[in-house]
Amino acid sequence: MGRYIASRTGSSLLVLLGASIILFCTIRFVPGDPITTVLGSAGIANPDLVARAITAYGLDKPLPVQYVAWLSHVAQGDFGFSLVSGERVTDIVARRVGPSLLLGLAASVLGLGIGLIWGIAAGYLSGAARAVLRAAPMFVLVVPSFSVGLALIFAFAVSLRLLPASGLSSPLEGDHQSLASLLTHLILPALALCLVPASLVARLTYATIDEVEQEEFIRTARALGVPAARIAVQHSLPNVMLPIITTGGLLVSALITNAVLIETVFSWPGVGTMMVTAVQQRDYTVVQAGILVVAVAYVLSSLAVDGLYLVVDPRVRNPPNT
Amino acid sequence: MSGATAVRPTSVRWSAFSAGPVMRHWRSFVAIGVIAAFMIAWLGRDFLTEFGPSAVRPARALLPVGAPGSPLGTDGLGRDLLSRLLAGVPFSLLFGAVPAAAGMAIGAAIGLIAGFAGGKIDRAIVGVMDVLLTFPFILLAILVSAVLGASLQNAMIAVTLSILPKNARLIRSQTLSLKHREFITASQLAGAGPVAIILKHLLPNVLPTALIVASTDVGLMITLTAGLSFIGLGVQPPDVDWGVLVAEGARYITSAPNLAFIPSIVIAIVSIAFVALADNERRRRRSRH
Amino acid sequence: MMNLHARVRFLGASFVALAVVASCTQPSTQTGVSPSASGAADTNKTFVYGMPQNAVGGCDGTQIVVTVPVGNCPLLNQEALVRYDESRKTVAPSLATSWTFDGTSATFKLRPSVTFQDGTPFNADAVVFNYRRVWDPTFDANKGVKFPLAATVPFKSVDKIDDMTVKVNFTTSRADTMLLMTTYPAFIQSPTAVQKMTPADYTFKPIGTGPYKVTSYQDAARFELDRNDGYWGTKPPAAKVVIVIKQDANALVSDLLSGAIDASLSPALEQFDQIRNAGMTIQTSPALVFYGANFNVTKPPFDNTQMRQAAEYAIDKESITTLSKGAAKPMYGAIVDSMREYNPDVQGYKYDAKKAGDMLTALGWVLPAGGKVRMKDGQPLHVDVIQRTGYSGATTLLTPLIVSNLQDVGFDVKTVTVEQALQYTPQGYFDLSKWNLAVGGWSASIPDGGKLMENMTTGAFVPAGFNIGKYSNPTFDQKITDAAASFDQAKHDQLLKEAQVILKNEAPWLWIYQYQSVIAFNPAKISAAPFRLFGQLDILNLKFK
Repeated sequence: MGRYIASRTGSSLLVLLGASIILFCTIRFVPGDPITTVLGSAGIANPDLVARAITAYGLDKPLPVQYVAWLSHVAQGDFGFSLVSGERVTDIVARRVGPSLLLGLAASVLGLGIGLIWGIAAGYLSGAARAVLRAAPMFVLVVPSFSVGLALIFAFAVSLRLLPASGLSSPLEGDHQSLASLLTHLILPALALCLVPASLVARLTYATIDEVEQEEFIRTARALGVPAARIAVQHSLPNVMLPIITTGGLLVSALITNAVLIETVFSWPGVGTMMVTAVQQRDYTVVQAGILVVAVAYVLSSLAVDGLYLVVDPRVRNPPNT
Repeated sequence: MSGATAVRPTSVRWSAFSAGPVMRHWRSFVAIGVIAAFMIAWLGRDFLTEFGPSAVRPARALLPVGAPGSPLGTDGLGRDLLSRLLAGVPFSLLFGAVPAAAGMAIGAAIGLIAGFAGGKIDRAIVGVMDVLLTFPFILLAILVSAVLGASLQNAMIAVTLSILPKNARLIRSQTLSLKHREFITASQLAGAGPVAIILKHLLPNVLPTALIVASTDVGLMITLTAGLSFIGLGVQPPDVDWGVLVAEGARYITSAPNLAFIPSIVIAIVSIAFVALADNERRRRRSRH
Repeated sequence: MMNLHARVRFLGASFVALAVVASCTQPSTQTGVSPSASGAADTNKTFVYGMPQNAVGGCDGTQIVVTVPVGNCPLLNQEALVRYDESRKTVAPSLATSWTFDGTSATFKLRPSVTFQDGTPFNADAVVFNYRRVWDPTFDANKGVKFPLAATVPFKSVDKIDDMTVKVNFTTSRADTMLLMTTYPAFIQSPTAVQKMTPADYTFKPIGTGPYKVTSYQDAARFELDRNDGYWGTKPPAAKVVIVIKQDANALVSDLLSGAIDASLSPALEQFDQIRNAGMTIQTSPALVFYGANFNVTKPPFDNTQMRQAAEYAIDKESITTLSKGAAKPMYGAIVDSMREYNPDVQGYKYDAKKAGDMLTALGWVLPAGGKVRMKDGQPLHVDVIQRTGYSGATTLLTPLIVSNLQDVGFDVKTVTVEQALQYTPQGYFDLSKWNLAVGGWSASIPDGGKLMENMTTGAFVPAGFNIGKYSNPTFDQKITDAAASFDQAKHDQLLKEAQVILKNEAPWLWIYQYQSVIAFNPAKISAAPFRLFGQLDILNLKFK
């Protein structure tokens, strides 16, 4: 098992390294010198920043040297300065990571919960309800998530005026936000974001339930009158965890993609909106930092999911022929 | 035909007639019908609409659904929503179809080569694919947009790059399982070169899967690329695609919700059509074996 | 999102040719006139307002590039020897009580008993220090700092005559020089404070002589200023000013509606109704920022003057007021009526689509039966309109309006979009093969018609200036040059009025609207929130309820 963990961590790191090289090179190969491109032909928007950037990153040195320098800065948490505002990128990212994590976690938990319930219902109900519940995930996956977000805003914020339409906090609160306020701001975006993972989980759940129900001993148990609920809890559910975990990477990836869209719809002050604004402004240092942070988060969560897999599946823990 | 047609006895006679195939394929026909309807509507857009998509008419700003001359309403500049929806058809469809097709074509090629070649080539290719996979779709799109600028072409490149790995993986695993079948070994023994084997034997066998997956992808791509346009990284205003329409409509959510919701529904309908088409074909294939 | 206004102002300020021209009166002395504040009673109140863009570069007037909205902070904290009086449209005393100016030099009598906010005295030494810091590359304090707008002032050298008198020498003799001495590079800082800190730190903790002292500055978030009770002039109304910066304009509107802030600059167009319905006041004020499009006169169809005129008639400029909900005011010529040199006889192209169509037909461009695009010799009337990404507010209306109006009279229009960052580069607007019309804006840092029209002279071809369409008329050039050299205000204005006639006839630019500074404020707390002509909020003349 130790070898498994080590090899997975190792390959993750290698992959991250490769990703960082791609990231670094693509930004450097932007048509025209990135710094001057941002600042336009007049080149004097903020010469102090240009000078700082050029000396800090040795833009005149050969590419591999630049890469190593960049990587070492990044490892120390120094992402440079925003090309637009001059602020330290680390500070910008630090501000934004919290809200994104909060939204992501809330959506994951909600998604898992809703997905399981949905999948169980789809697995055990019959007739029209069964057909609808089973067809629904595909529909949810193709309806644009930002539209769902807009629909929620329209229903709950605009029409019913029950919940706030955007942002993380109300203006009057500033630094002292109550938990209740945070929750009311979190509900709609989390709900909008959780639907894609929920439908993926639902599909996996009812597929697993179908499989389990086919097993001989389950059919025997049913015939003998064992309640469906007990079967579900003792056999189906534990088996569901495995495929959910194996596709965990896919779930996180879908979550990240939709998170950027949902953050935009709800003006959620997270990493997603930070990157979108930065791309529009050609603020390369911020874009780089954002992509790196998210890529690292993705790889880490994949690793964590693999770790969970170890815990859950004893066959992986003790492979038969080590 | 194998015993796939699990029909009730009374329908047995029906299936012998040509109505039978239609009944089995009805979902596919509906899906194709929907897609065709949009394309025909686009072709006939000059007849269906009174105003062009870019005609600014300040006096007709923010008309509601059902207004004379603009059955779906108008936006803040008085532009007709129906006209703009139709103008978006080629952009949205292309934006979805081209990356799906290219992503499958290139991805399948990569997967075939990796699977068949094995060894170092395979490991190298898998490594590169893994690296690409660390970038969730939207990050790749952001990266490409940051470097090359935000435009429709660049967004298509980004989208193609992001579905490449999954397609490559899929085709590669199919190739791996086919590689050791007897007919492949036989060809190799007969002296056929790798290119010939890939083209004549492997490709035809992976093609059905590839087509079905690609068709599902079109549906997903239409939605995802609309998302890119929504955040400003795809089609640029004043050019129109449905994602741009939703973004513009979002600003008027309080006063004119139709501007955001009608394009959203259109995106959903067209995506569902493609996905249903693929789903149906996949189910039919499965039931045939 | 980086606002067009910010970028336009940066261009306006950094582009040398857009500096100021003579509105300066006769080179004689002026007596002390009370500065800025109109004498509204000072209060204990705090004024909190929000801006949707960051003030890049901090609060040191000499270091900034983008004059608005950053212009708010330096204007409150520092002053120059002279200032521009917008109501009288002349240069007026500020830290100097009087001066003489003969073109090549100006001698200033400094105001006595003025101290910087750190208690150090304001005197000739301080002025010499400041000017050498900005303009003398051999001076220590100049090293390691960039003064982006410094080149707009033709400074040569400065001499201390006595403790309260300085003489400034200029490299060229221009009628507009005194106006240039009111601008940001000439703002005076406390030499003691400057020498204590690095330039990067100083810009967040500036010490000037002005009515407000900076008490805290969080870049891109929030800064606070307290009234300077030792100020030499009329005390402004607000005891404390807090400026909140949020990228998301919607959030600022929410703040306003909830009472967290008293006012918000540049709210989004789509929210005007919501804001008004909530009982807030929206006030607009003309700014010297203009939007429209350049004609590319080097190739067909706009190499022909009448084609350009037809296009001018085709644009419905009045509709921009409705579409922008008052945030834009139509403009018909190069000079607007808020400027002294405005020629009222030159009423330019009012919307007349029929006339446009008739002109096009007369030029040979005929609409085929049932067709929408005019043809001539088998060729369609096609134009490319180039724009950039990242428009917001009223500027999002420009391209759709131009495209729609031109299509309505029979043009076939294609839109080309370039990245905001590439706008004024050879990959963007500077590539004349890509466009016939280039959507853009321009601004004046001081209300002078001559400098504004200098933008259309031959001397302003890229890279010297922004005459990207390459319009060139020697008679026009001569008038502009003569006006710039003319110390006689009447002659200066007359030349510029004649220049406007030429521009009207030749229509090198498609003028569409003059930007209005927009502020939404809470009428329960504020009764008036005026603007200066360059779009900065005039906090010194704020009126509380």
